[in-house]
Amino acid sequence: MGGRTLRKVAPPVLLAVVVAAGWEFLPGILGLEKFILPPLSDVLAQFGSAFLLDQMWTNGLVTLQETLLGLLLGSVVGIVGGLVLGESAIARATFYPYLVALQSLPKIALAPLFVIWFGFGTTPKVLVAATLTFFPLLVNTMSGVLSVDRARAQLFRSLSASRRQTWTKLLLPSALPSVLAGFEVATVLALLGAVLGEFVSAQEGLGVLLLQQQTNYDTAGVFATLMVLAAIGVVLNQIAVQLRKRLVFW
Amino acid sequence: MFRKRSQTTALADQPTETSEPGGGFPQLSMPSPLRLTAQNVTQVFGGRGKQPVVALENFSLDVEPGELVAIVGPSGCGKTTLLHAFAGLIKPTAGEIRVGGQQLKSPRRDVSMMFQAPTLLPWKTVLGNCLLPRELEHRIDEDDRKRARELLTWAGLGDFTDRRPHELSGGMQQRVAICRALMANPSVLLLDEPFGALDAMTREQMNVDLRRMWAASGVTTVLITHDISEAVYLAGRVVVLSPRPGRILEIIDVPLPKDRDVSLIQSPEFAQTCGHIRSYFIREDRHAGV
Ligand SMILES: Nc1ncnc2c1ncn2[C@@H]1O[C@H](COP(=O)(O)OP(=O)(O)OP(=O)(O)O)[C@@H](O)[C@H]1O
Ligand SMILES: [Mg+2]
Repeated sequence: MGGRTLRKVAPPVLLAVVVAAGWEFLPGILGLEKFILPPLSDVLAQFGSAFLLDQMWTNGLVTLQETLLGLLLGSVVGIVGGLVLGESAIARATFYPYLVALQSLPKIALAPLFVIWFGFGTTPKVLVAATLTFFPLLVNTMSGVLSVDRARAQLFRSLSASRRQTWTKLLLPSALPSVLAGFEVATVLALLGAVLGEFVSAQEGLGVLLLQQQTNYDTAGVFATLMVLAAIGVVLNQIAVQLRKRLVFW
Repeated sequence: MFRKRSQTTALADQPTETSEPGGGFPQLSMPSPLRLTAQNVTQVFGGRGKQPVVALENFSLDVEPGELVAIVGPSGCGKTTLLHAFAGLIKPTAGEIRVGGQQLKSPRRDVSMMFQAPTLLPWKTVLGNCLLPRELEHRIDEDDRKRARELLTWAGLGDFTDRRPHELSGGMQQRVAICRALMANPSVLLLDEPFGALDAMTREQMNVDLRRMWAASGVTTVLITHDISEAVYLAGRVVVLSPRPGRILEIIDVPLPKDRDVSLIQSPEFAQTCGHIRSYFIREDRHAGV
């Protein structure tokens, strides 16, 4: 390992070690109850329980499915909407003020409504995830289209490009970096939406598991579930990051 | 460099040395050049609350088919505006542009514009950028690819066809932009400070090559430049514009033969013409603050 890599890798690793050590020993030193802050080893020990692992797996799959479906739905609607708003000034003038108003609404507040409409199954959670995902993609797609380089737009006009050619060969590639940046943010928001939806009403999912653990004052279990959620979030986000790096090679 | 300067520094105005082997200017199926006319063109920008800017005032010019006219003028005097009007990108506030006798209403495929900045597409390769005009016209065929490669080789970019624009220097990007403008097979070529970003030495070589290219293709060309000696070396006529609002101060017939050797730069006629043009700007500069 070169000196430079070492200097880059060493600080975060060191921090992790310090935090882990603090987490392990401070609760004991401070005399904290285990249900307030269990030492790290207790949390890690949770992953030794086959029962809990099984629960994490089944509930995790549910949450992951809701997240991905919500992400897909929100992205498709957001991107299509963003393209329409980017193309049409009239659509922008008509819809944008209301979309901003909608964005100011805390979307989790919609969850009870979704439950009334769609029951206790997957659908309301997917919808909460989708509403959270939708906005960043809409805004990023629209601004990506609108902020196309003026000189390049002029070039296309000077070459008598048709509207369709301008879209496929200029506007879409120009908007791609911004769309994918929006998607990166959206991955994390979709997971958030799914868990929040589960908090409101659900029979299964990591959100439900969290609530059960909370009821039982199983703090170590809560931490373990949080770790799994964080891992899912990081993986999803990293997939989006890699996708962007792959597609936006310029 | 476009091309190592060979023993043939003499430049012909007739398209005779077009099929020179080894990186000569590729044989083009250029359509016949067209006459380009501007009649009393005025362009005013702004309005609605903003102080209107008169970018161009009562500009009239008749460019013969196959002629190369240079336009010089201080920064902000409306040169780019004029070229955009020639390209059909803006409709002048008053007056009209005609291409081949037809009034220009919107951009035409046979009028090719090279912009002041290279304006390449970063997601396309050098070759892909060069092929863009053809791609927008029809499906690219093998002939197009071959021609694009020839043009790029002529421009000294033969080894860079598969690179992306960000891997190229500013001057190389400009050369890609020139090749792209030529790929359109234009009847009229509009060049907005094509060599503005280049160092003096590269620039001189590019001038020689541009003149050779123009001679070979015989395309009607309007060239905008800040550089007075570049204008005099390249053009048959030089249009001198005043500071904003751009008005024609003088149209100078360059007293140089059509066959131009680089050595002509040392001739007294060359120096005289340059000095004459320069005198306008020194005088104008004082109250224009350009
Ligand atoms: N789209 C526009 N809207 C408003 N004003 C404009 C616009 N385009 C140009 N202008 C104004 O018109 C004037 C002429 O601009 P133009 O770009 O034609 O100058 P130029 O001669 O090409 O300058 P330079 O040599 O620096 O490139 C400038 O004062 C500029 O501010
Ligand atoms: Mg300009």
